[in-house]
Amino acid sequence: MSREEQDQILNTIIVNTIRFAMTSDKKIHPEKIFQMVWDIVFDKLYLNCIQGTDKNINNISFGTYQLNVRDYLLYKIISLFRHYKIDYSPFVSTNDNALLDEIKGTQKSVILVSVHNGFTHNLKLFEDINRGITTIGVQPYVNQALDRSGIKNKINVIKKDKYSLAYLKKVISEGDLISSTVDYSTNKGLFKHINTNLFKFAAMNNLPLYFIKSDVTETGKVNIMMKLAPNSQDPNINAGDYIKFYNSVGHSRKILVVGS
Amino acid sequence: MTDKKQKLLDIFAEISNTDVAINTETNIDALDLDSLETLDLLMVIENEFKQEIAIDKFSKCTDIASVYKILESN
Repeated sequence: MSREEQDQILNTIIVNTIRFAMTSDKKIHPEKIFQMVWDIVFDKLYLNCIQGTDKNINNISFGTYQLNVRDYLLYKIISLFRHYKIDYSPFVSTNDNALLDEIKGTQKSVILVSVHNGFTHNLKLFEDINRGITTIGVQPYVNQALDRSGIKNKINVIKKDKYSLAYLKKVISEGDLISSTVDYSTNKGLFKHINTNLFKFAAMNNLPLYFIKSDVTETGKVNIMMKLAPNSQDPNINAGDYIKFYNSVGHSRKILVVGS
Repeated sequence: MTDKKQKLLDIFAEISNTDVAINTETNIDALDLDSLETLDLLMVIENEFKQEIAIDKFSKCTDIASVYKILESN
């Protein structure tokens, strides 16, 4: 079965489950709809369609973004929820509470680096922060990712282009929390290259840099893992450390390389 | 050509590090600067001329002459 056929089946299963849930109980809670859909696609049907694929294998790429099975299922479900105007966003938590408090507690700008997964999960943890949040991205995709993640607060979005870091320099004087993906693709290939510019920017401006990784659990919830980057002035070393961090914690793995 | 203009051209040449000929008519897009190089450029200009060019103004510049014009008008 081709990936396109698997995708059609997945869409049909999700849509039919949504319709069944909404017609069988008109007051059904969005979280319950999500759980019904997740249980069906993750535990029973969809994964059986991926022949030869163990659902614990996490280095499967869907498209150029290197989404693993769980990332992809969450992305598909939430995208269809938005289509049907179901107000549910993934539940996000972390076990790294000391680091969370550290980031929230400082009044200075810090930079959180992550890689693309169709969401901006980590920002959900910082919704109650008492200072601005800035991210760098390409429209309309960044707004769509914020919407899928259920980020209701206003986020300052800097357009990803040759002026990004000059604009970013302006916001660090205001103590904004800065969050950005650092992976990119070349020639429409995999998003596997890590751009070192933000690492260098952090070093130049003496800003704390935190590595971020999001993992989707077996129950469709999101676990955020964090680590304060070692205090290196070399952006290549820091980018390499991020890759090591990403591929040593949680369950998912990605092919990532420093630079082009 | 004034020293100030020449210095500005030298800065562009050093930061962009391309084969594109650098003169006042050079299109900035043709230099293919990334965001770190753009930031470097603005910081070096600020250091050399003791003048800050706001990114909002710089992003509207098409060629090096228009950057020079901002420096002259400050």
